[in-house]
Amino acid sequence: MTRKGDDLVRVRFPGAIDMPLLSALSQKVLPDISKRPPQELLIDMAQVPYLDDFGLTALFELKQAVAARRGRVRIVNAGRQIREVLQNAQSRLDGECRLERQAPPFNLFERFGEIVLREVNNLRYMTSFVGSVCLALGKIAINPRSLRAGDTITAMEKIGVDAVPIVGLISLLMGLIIAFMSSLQLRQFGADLYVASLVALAMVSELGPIMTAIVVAGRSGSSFAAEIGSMRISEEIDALFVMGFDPTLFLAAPRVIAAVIVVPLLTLFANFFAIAGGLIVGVFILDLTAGAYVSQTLEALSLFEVLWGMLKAVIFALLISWTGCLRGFQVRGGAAGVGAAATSAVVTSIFFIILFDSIFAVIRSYW
Amino acid sequence: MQAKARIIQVEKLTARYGADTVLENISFDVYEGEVLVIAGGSSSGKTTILKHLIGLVRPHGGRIIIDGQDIVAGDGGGLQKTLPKIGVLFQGSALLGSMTVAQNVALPLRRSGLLSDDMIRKIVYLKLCKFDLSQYQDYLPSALSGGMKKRAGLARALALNPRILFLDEPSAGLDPIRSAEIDAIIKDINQRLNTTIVVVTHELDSIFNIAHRVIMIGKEQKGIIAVGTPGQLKTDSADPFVRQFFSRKETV
Repeated sequence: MTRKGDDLVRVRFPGAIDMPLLSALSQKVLPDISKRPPQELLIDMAQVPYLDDFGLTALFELKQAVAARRGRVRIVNAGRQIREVLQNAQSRLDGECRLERQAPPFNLFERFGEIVLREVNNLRYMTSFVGSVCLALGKIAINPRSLRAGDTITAMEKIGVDAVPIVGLISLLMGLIIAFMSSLQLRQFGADLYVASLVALAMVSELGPIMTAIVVAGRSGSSFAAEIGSMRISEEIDALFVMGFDPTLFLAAPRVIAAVIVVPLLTLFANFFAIAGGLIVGVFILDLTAGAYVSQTLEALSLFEVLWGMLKAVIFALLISWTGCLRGFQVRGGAAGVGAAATSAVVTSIFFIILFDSIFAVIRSYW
Repeated sequence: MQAKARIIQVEKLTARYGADTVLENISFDVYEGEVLVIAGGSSSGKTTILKHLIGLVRPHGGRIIIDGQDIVAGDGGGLQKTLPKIGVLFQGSALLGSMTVAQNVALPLRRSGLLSDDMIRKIVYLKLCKFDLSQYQDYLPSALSGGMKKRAGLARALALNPRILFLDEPSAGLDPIRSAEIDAIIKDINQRLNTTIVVVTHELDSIFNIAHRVIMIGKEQKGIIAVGTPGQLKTDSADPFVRQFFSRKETV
């Protein structure tokens, strides 16, 4: 670059304008020109064999640098290819250049309307999916052979057997915590033995079903959504439909039935482990005998409590499997859609679990 | 060809995705025993037509009659009667990932509920032999190459010897030799079994190789811009876009 006072700056490119040259231009030459824009900028292209995107950008930047003083840009010694490119480029560079997606202008009413419409559609789909799951279960009740037994057993294994270690560990710890925390209070009244009743009642009728359901929602609800969602994307569900299969009967029914059978059993396991946790605290910290602890536990529990917990587990199982499959069938788009479906399956399931648990609590209080 | 019976009639089909109209008032017929190619530029609505023809999407307007059954009207009874007569090869083959190749091909046969497991096993094996896949019968789809997946998909689509076969981009993503193989299989099925075949593709070599007739879809026109044999469209079409499309080989 050579400068002749404030009036004329001459820029001569030493060769083809590539990325390093463009970078040097933007670091050394452009700041100088922008600081003191000349009346006329002369760009000598004699050494430039051709002009590509880097070259065009360089010229555009130079032009902008002198724009503040309404300076004139003159390009000299340009070859034919460069002249042609320049002629075609003007309109392109005048257009908007952006890398980011441009968000449409924010309109509160439009946005609100969109959300309402989307949620109404979602609700409609959810309702119709309840119907289609019921229909599928009805078909299986009429013709049990239409249930895919192999898939149901695999699902039972995945939902139940594979979850036993984690459910057992969590419940054992829950039992320990409840026993330990409650013993701090009950000890003051010399009511140590009632720790056993508290652990048993809290776990069997309330925490056992909920904790199990939350673990199942996290492990299996998300996996239902992801499995069915990827099948949706790879057109496997379309293929099933075209072959005359009912996708709900084929994919959702085995999972729903497996969950309904296995989750109550898993809940029983959870209860057992929690009571064992309480027993550990009772025997080693509260100095109770194992026999006294167990008999107090059995005294506190009625069959009704156990069945009530199992009933909850059945409903939670229905909710988790239904939500997981629903979110899977709703997947649109690509991999991101599958991820979103898995997340949404877990969040929606946990919300429904808590909602239905409160309904159970209300029913119980008016019983 | 024209003297043959119409097996598919599409009348004034309009397709929309949300507020976007993709196809407007298109009508065409498919004749029994022909290979009809639905061609057109990218995102012109070719696959949309196919999805409507196989009942995956309900049209916004119009009628589709396949072998005398209106698959749009009513509660879907017409569609349910039609599905056993058709086979579909999806673009990505859509083999069920949790099942082996043989189990995938057996699916339509099991669905019919008319055959014993032993018979199904034999039929599936024979089908796989025909497609050169017998040694892969207990492979999962994920272990197959693109060409094998297409052949397995075709074997499944043909499991019930359907009267009409729909193929969505059968040779997309395959090398020229594999594409030619798939073309040969399509021609063979058409000639041997007199299966009516509707193919969605924009692969020119395939079109010239297999098509009896071509329907050309225009993106801007949202409908059919030309109908004819590939040769006719290449030389005689009044639409410069159609001639350009079919002459790509010369202009490259």
